[in-house]
Amino acid sequence: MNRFLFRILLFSLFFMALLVIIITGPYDRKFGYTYLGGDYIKSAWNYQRIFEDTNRIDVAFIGTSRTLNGIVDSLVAEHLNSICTAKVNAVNLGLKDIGSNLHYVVTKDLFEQKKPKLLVMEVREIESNHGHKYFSYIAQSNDILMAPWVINVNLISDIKNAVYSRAEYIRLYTGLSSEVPENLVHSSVYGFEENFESVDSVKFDKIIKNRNSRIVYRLPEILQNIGFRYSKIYLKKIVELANDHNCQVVFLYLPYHGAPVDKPMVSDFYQQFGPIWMTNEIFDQRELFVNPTHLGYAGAARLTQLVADSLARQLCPTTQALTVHNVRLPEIHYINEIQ
Amino acid sequence: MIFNSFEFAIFLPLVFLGYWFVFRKSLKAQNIFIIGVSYLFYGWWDWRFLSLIFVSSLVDYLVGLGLLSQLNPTKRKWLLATSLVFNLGILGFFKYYNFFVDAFIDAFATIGIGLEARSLQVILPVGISFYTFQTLSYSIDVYRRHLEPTRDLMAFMAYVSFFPQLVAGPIERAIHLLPQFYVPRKFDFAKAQDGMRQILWGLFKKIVIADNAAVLTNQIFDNYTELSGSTLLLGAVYFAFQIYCDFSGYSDIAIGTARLFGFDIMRNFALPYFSRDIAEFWRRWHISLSTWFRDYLYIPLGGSRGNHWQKIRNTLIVFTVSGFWHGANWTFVAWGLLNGLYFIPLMLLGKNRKNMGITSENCLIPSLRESVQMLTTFFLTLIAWVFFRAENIGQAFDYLAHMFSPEIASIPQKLSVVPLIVIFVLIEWVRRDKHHALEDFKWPVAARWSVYLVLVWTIIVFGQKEVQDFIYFQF
Repeated sequence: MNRFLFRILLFSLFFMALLVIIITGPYDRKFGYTYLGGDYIKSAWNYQRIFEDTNRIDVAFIGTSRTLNGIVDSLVAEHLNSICTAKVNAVNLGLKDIGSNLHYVVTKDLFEQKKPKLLVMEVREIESNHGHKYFSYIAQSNDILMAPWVINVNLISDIKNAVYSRAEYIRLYTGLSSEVPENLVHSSVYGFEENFESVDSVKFDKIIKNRNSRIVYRLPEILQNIGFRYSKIYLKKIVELANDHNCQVVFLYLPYHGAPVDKPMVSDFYQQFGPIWMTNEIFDQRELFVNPTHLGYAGAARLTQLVADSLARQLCPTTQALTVHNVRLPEIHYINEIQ
Repeated sequence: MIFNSFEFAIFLPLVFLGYWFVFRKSLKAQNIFIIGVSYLFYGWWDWRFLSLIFVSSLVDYLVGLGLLSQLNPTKRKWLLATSLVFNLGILGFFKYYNFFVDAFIDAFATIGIGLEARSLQVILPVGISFYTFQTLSYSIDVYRRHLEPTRDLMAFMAYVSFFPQLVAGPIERAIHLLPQFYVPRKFDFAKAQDGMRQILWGLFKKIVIADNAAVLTNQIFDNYTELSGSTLLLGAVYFAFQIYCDFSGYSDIAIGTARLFGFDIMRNFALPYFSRDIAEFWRRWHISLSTWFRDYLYIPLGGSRGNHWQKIRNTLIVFTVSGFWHGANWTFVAWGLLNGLYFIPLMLLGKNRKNMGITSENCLIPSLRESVQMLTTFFLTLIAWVFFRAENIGQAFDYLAHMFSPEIASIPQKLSVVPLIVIFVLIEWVRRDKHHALEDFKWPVAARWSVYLVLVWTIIVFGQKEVQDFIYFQF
């Protein structure tokens, strides 16, 4: 029996080594970005905008579908270009579903390919306690293998997805795959997508009620910190990347309508790295939402106006060329106070 | 849960450790543990049908005890009838109720009488065709006095519910498997090692060959009117390997898993596509089912005794029932009937027991005659598989009509899985004297482990993203 168990253990070690070889083996990042398709077709667009589009990216919006559906980057660009002497390229790189690990991967690619001056990071009422389910498809091998192990609820699924994605790439290469990634050619330099998933009033209230009853709001801070640890690690990595590339980071607070808190629960953490732009006047207006978590176009346009105004003040003082003012406020900075 | 799933990968090691380290010292505890984990395994699909296995086990256990004490032949027949009616009754209800209702309605519709459909939404319990036949074999063998009925309820329930072979066989005979629950099992390194190898080979067949062939089979059968005859022929070949590798792969995993726990389960497939005639094919394909029908239907009907017409009748009955066992669709009946028609000439000419040994034994390259025989037999089974795979009889004939068009000589499309199948066939051919390709693998350690890792790599890389069910679960 001992001999059998020893051989099983030894084989398991070889098996894990094999998984590492597969994960670090040949893989095309474009395949990873474009494979998802469907609801994640925006990922293919992100790839094209970052890697293939030769236009600069000066301001990048990073976040979830709240950013994707909330920031009309064409309006941002229009507003900034009407004020600034130099052209400013603002791009919405938001992607459905939460996960700072994925935001880190996208930001890393962004800094490798472009030289943004300002990163606008979405933050929410609470941080997530898990990563993005498609992290492994897009991440580079070393980011997968060096991902935090402790309190990483996605550890096994990330490894599984990493193996699947690399295996799927080999299957495609050898002609065995029946799923061919969509060959997206984007027709726009802007990434905003309007949200059409409206719900009726009853369901609207039900969603808010369900969200507000989540246990995380009642947990003591120490337990919250344990849960948020995973996301915080990646947020720190994003900020470090930004600092290495002389890029300023600001946090844009995008809560859901009816959230039980009026500022992020980990705002102290964010404020170590940059100001938090608050937009409560938008998120208190129910009529601006199609569903509790996503703005409709009117709401997105209002939000974009506020954000664009702040960006203009930061990026383009009227008589000077495009620079970034090092504005780091120790407190929460309310956009609507700036006239 | 299914064998090629993450849940089973966690389940099996835990059960193995519990079985050999926690419950090793008590045979009864070990048997109860097997019952517990087997019920958990089965209940993972649908816990509601656990009661069915439990009741089925109890009925046949009590019938066995009744037969032990009953000497009156009439009363013994009644006891056997109880088991038959109960087991075939539940099988008939869950599997065939809607089929017969629909067939009844269709029959009356042809003469202009419209009947209201009263089909029920009957869910087919997974594995019901397998475990009911398993318990029936116990009752019949006890009735025939081939087997002493057991008083050990736990051993009997463990025999019925034994998870490696519960949902898709092999359909084990009580004579062979039940006594293994009476004696303490000792861990055997060689047996366990070979069991692991057989599991690996089974996973390779299922995940790499069967699941990849399935994708193209579905594409071809779903669009057969738009494809060339040669592609349709290739589609039939893909299905032949899909069903073979799927089912034999499952059997390999079941047998290998059982060996980890010290049990021996009968072989279910003996390289059927290397058969030289149809009779040999049916000695090598789904052996547990074909021998079950031979012993419990064919021989009681008279077998090969009697005149030609009786032999033909018996043969056709067995093959038709065998087809019907697979599912409530006329296509399965047609498949069975066609195989019966293939078999009859050999039987009448007395040539059905001609090819009994290993094909081309001790020769790497088969003779021309054997090659022609194998290809002919394979081709005949291909035609029959079209019926098995088609959704209805009309589609089967239509598929064949499209297949046997002038385009059958053209170069087929969808060739991507052909290299995998060719490699697989070559491996099985070279190792055809073994029960499975990795049995008795005598290469140096480094070379053996390299082969294992290559197989694991192929399973990971060439496996489909979505876990595919085993085909025979639907039976």
